[in-house]
Amino acid sequence: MRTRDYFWYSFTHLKRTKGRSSLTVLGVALGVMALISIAAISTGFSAAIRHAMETEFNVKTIAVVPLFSNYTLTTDDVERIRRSISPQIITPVIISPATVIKGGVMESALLMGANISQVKYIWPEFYVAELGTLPRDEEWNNNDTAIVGHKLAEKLGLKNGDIIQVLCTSSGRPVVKNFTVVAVLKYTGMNLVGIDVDNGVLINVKYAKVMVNAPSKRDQISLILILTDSMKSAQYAATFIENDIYQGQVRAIAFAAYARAIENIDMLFRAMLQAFSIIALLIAGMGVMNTMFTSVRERIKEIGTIRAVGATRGNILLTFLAESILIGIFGTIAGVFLGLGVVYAIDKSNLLQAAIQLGGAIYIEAHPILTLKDLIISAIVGLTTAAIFGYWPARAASRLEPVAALRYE
Amino acid sequence: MPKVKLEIGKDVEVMVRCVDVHKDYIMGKVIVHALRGVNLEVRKGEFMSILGPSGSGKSTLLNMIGALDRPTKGEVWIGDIKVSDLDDHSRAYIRRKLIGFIFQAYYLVPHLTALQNVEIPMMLDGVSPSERRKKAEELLKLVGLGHRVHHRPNELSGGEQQRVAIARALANNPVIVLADEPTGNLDTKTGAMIAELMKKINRERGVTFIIVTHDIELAERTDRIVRLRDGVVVEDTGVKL
Ligand SMILES: Nc1ncnc2c1ncn2[C@@H]1O[C@H](COP(=O)(O)OP(=O)(O)OP(=O)(O)O)[C@@H](O)[C@H]1O
Ligand SMILES: [Mg+2]
Repeated sequence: MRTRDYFWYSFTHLKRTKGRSSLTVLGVALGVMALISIAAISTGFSAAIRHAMETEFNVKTIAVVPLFSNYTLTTDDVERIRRSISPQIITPVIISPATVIKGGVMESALLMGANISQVKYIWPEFYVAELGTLPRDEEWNNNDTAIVGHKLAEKLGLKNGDIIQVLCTSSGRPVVKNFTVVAVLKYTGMNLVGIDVDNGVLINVKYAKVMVNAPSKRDQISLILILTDSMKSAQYAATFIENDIYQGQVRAIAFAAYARAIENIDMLFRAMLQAFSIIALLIAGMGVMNTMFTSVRERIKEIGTIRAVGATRGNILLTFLAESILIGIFGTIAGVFLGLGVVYAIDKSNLLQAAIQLGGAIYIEAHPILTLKDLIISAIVGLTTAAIFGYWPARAASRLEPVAALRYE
Repeated sequence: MPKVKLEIGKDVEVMVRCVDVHKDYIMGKVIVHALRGVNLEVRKGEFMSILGPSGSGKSTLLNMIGALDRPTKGEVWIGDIKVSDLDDHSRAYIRRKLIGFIFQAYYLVPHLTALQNVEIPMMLDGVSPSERRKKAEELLKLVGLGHRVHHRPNELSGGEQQRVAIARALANNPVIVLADEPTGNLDTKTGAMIAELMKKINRERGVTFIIVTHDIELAERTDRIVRLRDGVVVEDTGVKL
């Protein structure tokens, strides 16, 4: 029997059972559609996460914090580390809980003292003004200049030019000072090692020291930020600082470690999506199998007849297999178009947004990315699934004894 | 190509030979002895019938001769080929090349047209579409259905369907046509026409016909009647001259 005759014979049968066949075809189409869109979503997410890690989630950065509350970091530590590892940038940061008052309204916030020019260099993406302009270095030296985070500004209705009162405690005594808001930052979504930038008031580290520290401990700082030249040196330097310089008294957090954790999350996410694809395919495959078993059951007499006029078991097997393959081909073609449609719709609707919270938080907006390879693989997998699930019904058909099939009522 | 000999010899005189053919069916704990030692010879070009009451084993015997099934014991020969020894694949080949089947309920493939139904045996044999279409058209003309080629079985009367089945049985130029109650579903007049058609084909083409029936009228239209009862041959008229 010729190959094209197997397909011709099955196709005439499919045409006669349009209703049932088209439902099965739809099942395969949905499976292929799921495969394509899931591949695109997953590729898009991975790309977005990779991008986030390389930019916002700066993998070349280390934060040094005291490990025990009885150890305190000072500006001397900045010099000490600078001398031993000579990083690209090293800068002290002071963090203190504070209350910000504006027009009689109070909000708790985070007072952050930093060298803005240096922090800006570490996270250029985060230091973008939403309102006002970011201060130049000489402006930053004014002792009443402040930048506020997006959330805090929203809560208090702050804009540039506003005067705010910042209240904090220094060795148990309350301290109040007025600042002029020069800029409001764009939303960053960043919350690394407890620094919620969006809820912060940024002032010069010099004045923060005076405000927060007791006169006897003026040089005390909360953490040290370090920028190295690569992810590798960041990890190496972090170990060196922790073990060799401080013998375990400080914790040096290389953000690369977080990056790895996020990569793991990404892998988990991919695995989950792949599981969904497999389920979608199994459902499609079961549909094909069910339809084909029904078909075999209905066509027992026909099978007996064809066997009587000379069909071998192999002829019967291939005839029924051809029918599953046809269902697979039609389903795959439809599925490719549906998949392209879904990917397009997801892309237009900005559906793929997520915040990943992990010690810090990064906010990710992804777009589906459909590669030709994924498209081809999805099509092949869809077709193969139909063929594989169609094999058992086809085999069952081929195993019928001709005499029994002819006597079947 | 199968290793065993599957081509029938040119000088064969005896077309079918059954030697002590037994067939048992096991139905749970009971054994049904459908055939209990059938001996039968049918010569080339005969037009004969096997007559017997329901359950006497007629269909079972026909299935043995047609290489659809294998006897529990005994030998079945088609010409000089011992078909009772052949494996499944070779028996399919024998059925395709040497035998044509006609059934009581026609057994046409419902989703195919008359023409396509006649093409099936040729399609199974790998004949090209144009060639088999031509042959199928000729055969449908031969059985008087030249004007019904594109009708599906459900658009044809019983007699017409049986004629399509006859055309299909002749598709690969078989040496034997086996008909199991070919007129069983038809009225007397249509049945008689089908019987005459088969006879005409036998006379014109020299194809051996074995017709199973319990209809004495149909049997009497044939040249020889073999009576079967309880799985054995009880009477054989021999070829009437
Ligand atoms: N596949 C089978 N399994 C079990 N028993 C069978 C089978 N085929 C036939 N038989 C039994 O064998 C006996 C002969 O059956 P067969 O069909 O050959 O009779 P028949 O002469 O063709 O009868 P009818 O005129 O009713 O068609 C019957 O008793 C039948 O029940
Ligand atoms: Mg019978």
